[in-house]
Order: sequence, then C-alpha cells, then structure tokens
Amino acid sequence: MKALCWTGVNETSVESVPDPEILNAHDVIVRVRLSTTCGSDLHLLGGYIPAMRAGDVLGHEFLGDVVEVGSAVRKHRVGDRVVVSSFIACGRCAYCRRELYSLCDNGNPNPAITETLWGFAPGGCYGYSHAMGGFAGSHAEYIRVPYADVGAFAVPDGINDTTALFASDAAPTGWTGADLVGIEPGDVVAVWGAGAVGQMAALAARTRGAERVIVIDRLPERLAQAERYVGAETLDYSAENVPQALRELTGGRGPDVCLEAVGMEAHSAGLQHVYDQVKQQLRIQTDRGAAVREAIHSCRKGGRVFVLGVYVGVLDTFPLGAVMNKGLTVRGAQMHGQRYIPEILARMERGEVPSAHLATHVMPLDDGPKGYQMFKAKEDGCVRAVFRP
Amino acid sequence: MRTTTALAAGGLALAVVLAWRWRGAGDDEAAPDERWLVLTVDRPPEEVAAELSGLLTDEAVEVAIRPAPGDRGSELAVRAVGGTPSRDDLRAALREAKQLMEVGEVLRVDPRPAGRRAATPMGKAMDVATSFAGRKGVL
Ligand SMILES: [Zn+2]
Ligand SMILES: [Zn+2]
Repeated sequence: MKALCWTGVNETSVESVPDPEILNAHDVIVRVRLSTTCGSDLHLLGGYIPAMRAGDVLGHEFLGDVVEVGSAVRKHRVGDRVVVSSFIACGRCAYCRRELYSLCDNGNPNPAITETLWGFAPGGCYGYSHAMGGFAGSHAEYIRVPYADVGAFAVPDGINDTTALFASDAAPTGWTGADLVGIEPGDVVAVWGAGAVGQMAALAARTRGAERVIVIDRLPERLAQAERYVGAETLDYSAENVPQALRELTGGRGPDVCLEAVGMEAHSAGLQHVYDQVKQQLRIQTDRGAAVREAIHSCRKGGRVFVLGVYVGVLDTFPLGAVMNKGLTVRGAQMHGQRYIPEILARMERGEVPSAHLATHVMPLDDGPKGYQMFKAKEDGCVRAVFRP
Repeated sequence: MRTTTALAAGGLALAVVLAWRWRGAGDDEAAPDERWLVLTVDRPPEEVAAELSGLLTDEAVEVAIRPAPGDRGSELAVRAVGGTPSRDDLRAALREAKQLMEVGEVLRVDPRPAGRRAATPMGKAMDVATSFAGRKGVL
C-alpha cells in the first residue's frame, strides 16, 4: 500500500510499504478515508523527538472503514465507518478503568524509552515515534487498530467525514483540557492558540459552562474562525500586550482558567523567542515555552492552567514563583479520547461541534509532502492539511 | 507473616506474602538479586496468584504478592535467585504477565508497515534502542 513516511529532519515521502496485518485478537484493520496533519507532528518532523526512525509512517488523527476484524472484537463489523482515538489504550488497566486512557499501562510496547525520560510510560499513539510504541501511522491506505472495541467508534450517518475526522484527536484534546481543568459557571477562560486544538478547547469550555472565552493567536484567519465558529473573543498577540489586554477584559482579575494549546514550538515575539530558540538549537533546553509562561503570568490568583500543547523534555525559565505565590493549579494531559469521543459524536450529530472548516486543505495522499510544508509554514491560511489516501 | 507455597507443577516456589519486606528475606539458600521488580496488577491477589502459577514457571524466580491499598488490585514482585533469569528477561516477563492478567493478550507491534529504513548511524542506534525497549526501563 501507499504511505507517507518520515525520511529525515523535515523530510517526508510517499512510499510503497507492506499492508498492516491483524496481530492481536482485539485488532481491526481500517481502510483510511481521511487522515490529518497535527501541530504535534511538527515536533517529530523537525527531529525534536529523537525516537523517530527513517521509514516510520506518520499520522495519528483519522477515520475510515473497518475491512478486517480480529477474533475477539465484539463492537465492530466489516463495513463500519469509524473514528479512532489517537491514543492506544487497553480499556482494562487501572488507568483505563478510571477513564485516564492516555495513561494506559498496557498500550505502549516500548515502555523503556518514556520510563527513562519521565519516570513512567504513558499509553501508545499511532504514528508518533518509537517512544510512544512505534505504531505505524494513519497517513496510509490501511492502518491496524489495536484494542478496537475500546478505541474505535462508529460514526453516526448524519455526520460527514470531514467533521467526524476531528473527533479522533483535536476535539477530544480540547475536551480533555476543558473538562479536567474544572470550569465553573461564570468562569472567564483564555485559550492560547487558535489552531484546531485551541478552537476545540474554546468550544469545549463553553459546554462546561464558561461565560466568556478569549482566544489568543497571531494568524488573522485562525482568529476569524474562532470568532465565527466558536463565538470567542480574540486577541492578536503580535499587536497587543496579552497580559495587559486580558487584565482589561477581565475587570483587572485575570482569566479564571487558562488553556495552553500551543506547545513546545511556541512562536513568540522578541527576545524571549530568540533565547528559547538558541537554547533549543544548542540542545540546552528541549522545549520553547512562551505560551505556557504567559498563561501562568496572566492567570488570576488561585486560577487554573491546563497544558494541552505537547512538550517532551525540559523547559528553562519556568515561572514557578508565579505558580506558588499566586496559588495556581497547573495540570496537563495527553487526550483521553475514549472518554470524550461518544459525547463529541453526539454533539456533532446535533450540529454543536463545527469542525469541518479546520480542514482548509484536503488533498490526495500523494501530495502529503507538500501538504506538510504548507501546514508547517501556515501557507495560504492552512489550519490543517488533510490527506485522502 | 510469611507463607511459602511450593507448587507441584513446574516446581515454582511461589511465596505469597501479605506484607513482604523489600529486601533481605534472609532464609533462602541461594542469595536473591538485591531488588525486587514490582508492578501493580488490577486484579485481586487470589486471582493473580492462581494465574501466575501458569505464567512464571521458572523455579529460580521468587514471587511475592500483596494487596494494593485502596482497592487498586495486587502488588506483584519478582526477583531472580542466583542471577538467572536476567533482570531484563524477568522485567519483560512481568510486563507480559500483567497484560495477560488484565487484558488477556500481549500487545504486539511487529511486523508493522514501514518505508525504507535508511542505514544511517542514527538509525542503527534507534534500532538498538527499540530492540531493548520492552525489556529495559525503570520498572
Ligand atoms: Zn494530534
Ligand atoms: Zn489500559
């Protein structure tokens, strides 16, 4: 079959690779209908996550049709149109039973890498380096889905492919942050990043009772989407001092909740950006953190900050003093897709989760390398490049 | 309190210990490797003990099981007596036993679709690292 493979730093190519096989009784094989690029792929692409091997198939957010079913699968049949959680979780361990699926004990066959890096290994993820299990990704004609009864969800007929695609990862990532951060009615929520995850986090915050949602980015087309589809207020950080603007918008208090949906390649203005970039290139720090620093600085006293953007290693100049003295709660998580996908699909069916607009550039898988370039450079207003194998 | 049950099948010495001490069991003929390898299985201790007798059949392995606090299943500890099996083999076996008891199967990832694996020094290093990734770690 055809697949989009990582071949080296900032290089991808479409290659002919072997078809996936059923390896466990709980597997299904899915013929991919749509598979999207994700901001977190850029860390893999750029070589910031060193556990990539030339030839690895990229992609972790996808939907498709079940074409083969393992002997222990009960929920799915050949022909089902399914959306699949990007994180691979067994559904049976203590973490899964507590609905913390991305922390699954059994979903990563390579636990040594992340145990060494972080102390304990989270679950596996498709197309996301050997550190996250070495599973082949979804930018391909076919993909193997382990623990299919737990991770794959039938898509109701009323939801089109492009909308349902974002129930795989972008929407549940937003839901994970907005749900676990603990939004209370009347809260003002600020979201850093107006990409797919930021927009979905803003939307999820509304479902959890946020009174006002303010989305921060620098790209006018993304801010316009956040206004139009989420009904958010917006701030352009290239034109405004964000902490000051937020203070003004919140009666001098600061946002009650700050959701960071940018990650370790955060772009920012000025000296701090240069400092982070130089240190990252010299490998003195692995992650750039402008957005997470600003979120912590801007948050009201006693407020809550949730880190949704992907970080892998260490961050320099982390404002621990602000965390301690302002009494903040700081949390983070990879997404617990299996927990939120049923709610998201139900809301999509009622038209409450506009997401098809995020797929600004849909193209054949053969154009994958060009798609990643456009996505990385945010060319032509690209929010997500989506591949149709 | 410490009870030791010798299972007939395979001769596994299964030490079911309600509150085991982390080192220095003291009364073994062969000196055990110093530290236990421990993980928590989300199943009750009786079930873990019963299933384990079919899984870990090496007679040179000492096994201890105790209930985890707060209804978190069982804490399962193993260590080799006298150097074999290696800690890496034992670690891999322990992880697999946990998967078999919790999920009923061991998650596989090979063979998997992949493009051309260029023969670079970095690639070689990655191949070595991943070949150990199920057997090493901080467990
Ligand atoms: Zn993603
Ligand atoms: Zn699990």
